[in-house]
Amino acid sequence: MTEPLLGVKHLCVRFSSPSGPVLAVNDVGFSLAAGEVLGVVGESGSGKSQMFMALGGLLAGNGRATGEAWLGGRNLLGLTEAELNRVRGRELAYVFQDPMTALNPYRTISAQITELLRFNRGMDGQAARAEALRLLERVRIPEARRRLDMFPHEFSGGMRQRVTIAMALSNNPKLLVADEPTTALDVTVQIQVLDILEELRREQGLAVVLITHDMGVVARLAHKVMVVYAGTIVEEGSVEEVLLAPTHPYTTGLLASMPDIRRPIRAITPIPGHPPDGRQERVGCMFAPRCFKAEPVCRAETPALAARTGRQRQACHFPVAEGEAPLARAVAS
Amino acid sequence: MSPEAGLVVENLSVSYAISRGPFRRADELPALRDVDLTIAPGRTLGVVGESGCGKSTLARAILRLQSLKGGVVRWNGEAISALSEPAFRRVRPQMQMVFQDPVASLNPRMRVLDIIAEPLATHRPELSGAQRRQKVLEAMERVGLRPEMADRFPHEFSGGQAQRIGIARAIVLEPGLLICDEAVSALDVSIRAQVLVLLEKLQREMGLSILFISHDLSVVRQIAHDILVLYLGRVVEQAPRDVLFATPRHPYTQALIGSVLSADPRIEKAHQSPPIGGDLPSPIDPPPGCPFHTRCPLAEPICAQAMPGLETWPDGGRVACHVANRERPAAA
Ligand SMILES: Nc1ncnc2c1ncn2[C@@H]1O[C@H](COP(=O)(O)OP(=O)(O)OP(=O)(O)O)[C@@H](O)[C@H]1O
Ligand code: SF4
Ligand SMILES: [Mg+2]
Repeated sequence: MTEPLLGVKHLCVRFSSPSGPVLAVNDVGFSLAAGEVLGVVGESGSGKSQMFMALGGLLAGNGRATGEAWLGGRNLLGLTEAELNRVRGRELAYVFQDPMTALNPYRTISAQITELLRFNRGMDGQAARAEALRLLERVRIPEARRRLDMFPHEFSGGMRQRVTIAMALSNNPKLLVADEPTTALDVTVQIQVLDILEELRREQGLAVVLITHDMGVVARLAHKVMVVYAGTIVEEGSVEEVLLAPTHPYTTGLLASMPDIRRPIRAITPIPGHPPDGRQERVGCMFAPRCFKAEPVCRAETPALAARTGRQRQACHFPVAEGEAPLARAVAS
Repeated sequence: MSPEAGLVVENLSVSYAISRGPFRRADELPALRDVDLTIAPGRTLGVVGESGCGKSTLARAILRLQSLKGGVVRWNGEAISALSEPAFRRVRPQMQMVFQDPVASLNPRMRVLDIIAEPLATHRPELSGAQRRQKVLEAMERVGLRPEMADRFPHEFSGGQAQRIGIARAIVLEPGLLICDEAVSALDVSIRAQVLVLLEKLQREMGLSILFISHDLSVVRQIAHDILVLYLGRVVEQAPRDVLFATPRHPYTQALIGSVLSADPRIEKAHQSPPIGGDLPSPIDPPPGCPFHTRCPLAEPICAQAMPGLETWPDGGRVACHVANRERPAAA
């Protein structure tokens, strides 16, 4: 195996809030190699975004990250603000759900990209413009030359998202964190944007963290998957292991909750109840109140993330066996 | 059941006026053109299409929140689009809406009891306070909210519970039609499944007609009996669920279905993205002829000239495509 590009250990993210401290991310660890795509799935508020905002020093003012996050031989969590700024330009780039968070509505696309090129790569004039054009073509913006001098509002949502990907790529980062990059896009556009990310990975060896609610997005692009619940990783393994033979009751429940257009129609089986917020006391398994397999030990002892079934790792005292019903019907509400 | 029971929409057209400055004539944005649909009691019609195709306008036009440029909306045989305002108010309780953002659609200063009781106060003023409370508690039980939640405020609820409150408010008048506009889109996967199961249960118990608007084809396939595909305000295809997913005929429907992802990585490895070009054209200047011809992999010269008719196939499907309709078997 190659040396991992990114290595995260014991990462915790805490926020202070008027109603008490919030533990958004609780002791997570994982690694990622060049050219690899890590899918991060979980429900709203599970900590997916904060986990990766922490790496780039992008947490809100009331947030604090502890642990280690090694990228290119440096621990990102030990860097100064100035050092982090440089890392964010060069090694680590982000793409978010709403492309307008990265675009200035009052400036043309070419002005915005050439400015980045000047700042990060010292390029100017014709060279910068040529590079901007190359980047737009790279993300398959049709008629890119004509569109260089347009404003963001003249672009469709899908086209804007491609522009933000082009901007993120402007400095040849090694790691791209894409946080719900296609959630706001129509399905026909979503698949095109995902295919562009796949092409970049294949051709440039880009490592991608793909944060999403959508198992389909993970199935299409990811090599590895991490399922997050209440700030912890509850299951982690290859995309085939986790999606085809899930072992954590939460993962099986998520998959049983989702209709799948390529499979025969069957009744969907919801997970009862709803996820905790970060203020709950942490004893035992955080999923226990919703879990069909829970036993008294689950509420007393926190299950470690370990490979109990010989394949992927799961944080569960009683992993679901292959072929076992994904959810006991009795608990379905 | 009489053939007229339920919702019937005929030739519905809606236009928005788009102002382009004080000295210019307002432009017309044709948001819906000649839309036909029927939803019998106990049936769900799914409406799909990309953003801006007119899905929400359809919901608003049926409820008369939007004036019509043409066409008729009938509810149980009565042309409600032609009724006077007071006469419509009599019918309005039979048609209710569930919105996308559950938390934002609830008044934060009202208790759950009062939120759910609001439609009763408006439309059933003759009920006593005790009768009203009784009806609210019944509705809460139907949607799976415990009675002690009645005295709490919306912010104390999760998104899924808030959506249950919204649904309880929608069913408290015992409507015949429920319009769900992206009603589960903002919900997390596990909560979304709970709400889908709830909607199916309510439909069974109450015989509801449901108009289920969603951009999510997997969800629509799960819940709808019939499906209507809109593109730039026009019906391009409509068919019973199994017909539509087994044999999508319109190239746009094919592209939509072909773009949906599966949670099975083996399927996704082999899944080619559909050959559909470019982006949605501006709805202010919809292309002449077939609205889809600018992106269509099958387009022929005729497609840019003439709007294809919406032809009915023997299995009940309807398709508006010059090329696809050539394969249509002669009516038996
Ligand atoms: N500035 C903040 N102050 C307090 N709590 C915060 C702050 N930012 C995030 N949180 C909390 O951290 C937890 C994790 O949030 P995070 O944004 O990572 O979730 P997520 O998994 O990305 O959710 P989504 O799917 O909705 O994007 C949540 O409980 C959230 O409320
Ligand atoms: S540890 Fe227990 S409660 Fe937690 S997921 Fe496993 S079986 Fe369920
Ligand atoms: Mg997030």
